[in-house]
Amino acid sequence: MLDFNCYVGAWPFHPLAVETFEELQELHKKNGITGGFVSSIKSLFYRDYFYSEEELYETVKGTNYRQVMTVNPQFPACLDIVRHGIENWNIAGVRIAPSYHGYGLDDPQLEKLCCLLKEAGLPLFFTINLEDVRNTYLLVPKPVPHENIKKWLHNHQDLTVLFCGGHINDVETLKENIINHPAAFFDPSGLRHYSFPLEELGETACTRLVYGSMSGILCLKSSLMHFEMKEISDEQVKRSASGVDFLAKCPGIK
Amino acid sequence: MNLAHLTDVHAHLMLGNVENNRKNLIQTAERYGCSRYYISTIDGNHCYPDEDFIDMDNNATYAFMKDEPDLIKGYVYVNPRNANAMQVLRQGIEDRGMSGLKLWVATHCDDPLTYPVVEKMIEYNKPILIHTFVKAVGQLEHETTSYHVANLAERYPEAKLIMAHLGGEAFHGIRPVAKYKNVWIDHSGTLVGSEDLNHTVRLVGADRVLFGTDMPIAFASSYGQLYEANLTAEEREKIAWKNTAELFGEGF
Repeated sequence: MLDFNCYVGAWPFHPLAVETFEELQELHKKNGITGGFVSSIKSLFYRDYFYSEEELYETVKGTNYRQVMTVNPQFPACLDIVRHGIENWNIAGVRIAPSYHGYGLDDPQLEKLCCLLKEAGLPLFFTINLEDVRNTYLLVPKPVPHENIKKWLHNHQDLTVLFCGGHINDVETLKENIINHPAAFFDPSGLRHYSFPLEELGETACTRLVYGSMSGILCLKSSLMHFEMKEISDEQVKRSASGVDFLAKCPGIK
Repeated sequence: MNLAHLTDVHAHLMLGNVENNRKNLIQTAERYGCSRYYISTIDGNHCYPDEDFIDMDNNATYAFMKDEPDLIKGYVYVNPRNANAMQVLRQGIEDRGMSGLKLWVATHCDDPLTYPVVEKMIEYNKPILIHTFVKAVGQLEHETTSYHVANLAERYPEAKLIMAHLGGEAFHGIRPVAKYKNVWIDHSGTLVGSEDLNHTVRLVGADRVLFGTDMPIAFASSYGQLYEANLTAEEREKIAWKNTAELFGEGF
């Protein structure tokens, strides 16, 4: 089993149970997770994320974990850093968080980033939510309207996208667009509402489910329960946990 | 963890969706192994419910208690602004055998309007569940925060108070009430921060923390937190059910 949405680093506004890579590995091991696609919390908040990504590269190299570079496309050197990551750090994708960084999906720099990722055969990790908006401090995210996401997704048929941290209303609203896209997926890390949210979403939508926990920011077990409670078939649990369908759409991941 | 006795101290029926909620609670209890819910019925569209709405809320709770006596215990929901608040409280506790009082967002919990019901609950020696939340966005005008709970605990040291939702945010909500031994804390409310429970237990110990979910809104988030927190088996069991059984005097 793999965790396709996890983080290392300190959150600026309060402590986390899991901050270091070693703590993340230990948590995963306890829960039968053998590797993951990990991002740097520092990179969410640094203007120039080159050094935090370099640090992440050094942290995960030689392990079962893969680096997902976190970027704000509006930073002028963004594409250079991503190219550097592809060529030198063997990154497994790029994460964006537009609701935190405050740009629209029609941003020309984002478009260039998407083109670069398509060429490289790498996925875009699209962070919809991070922490609970009720608990935010200083930085209150401005959600990207669902209609804008739908339009953007429709215009990027060749890009592999993993939506991370979507709440049930986000995924419910986007699910038809995800299903109708050749390579769009979502993770369960933000599905905190309802007892059995995967059942609410339905079997077809869950063919696009990829396991991601958003640990260390969030409690891993809360999202894992949806798998352990057999809300989806054993076969789908295996596919979502291994990410086999997602990875098949990411030829650039080596 | 002894799942046979898992007890959810904070669950609801939502007026307008009662039948679905009842089914959901029962189904979730079966699948997750929850042995008991303490429920109140509220209506998300009415922060200041009048006497008729309160009546409908409490009738729904009572009906579920009667139909599922092993699974369901009830809180009587009171709006302290209503003229018949004391009568509602008496009916709920004395006539219907409800286990506690629920205060939601009609008043801050330390508003003098609540004093008569709090004093009556001290007489009954039963707990008061207080919705408590501090929010970055969307704070309601009379939504209680942990500072209000601390004021009430200071004024009435004999009252048994349950501060819901970790006060809304553990790193802000727990400290104000930590010194009050008459305040218990539940972690319901779709809170899924990785450090929430660890921080809470560090500040108040495991004896005053109660498993709660806010069902039918969510279950897995609280269940996952309970499993993942850095607790001994004994501490986990206390939070899962023992503390609640002791607080309410209603064991298995």
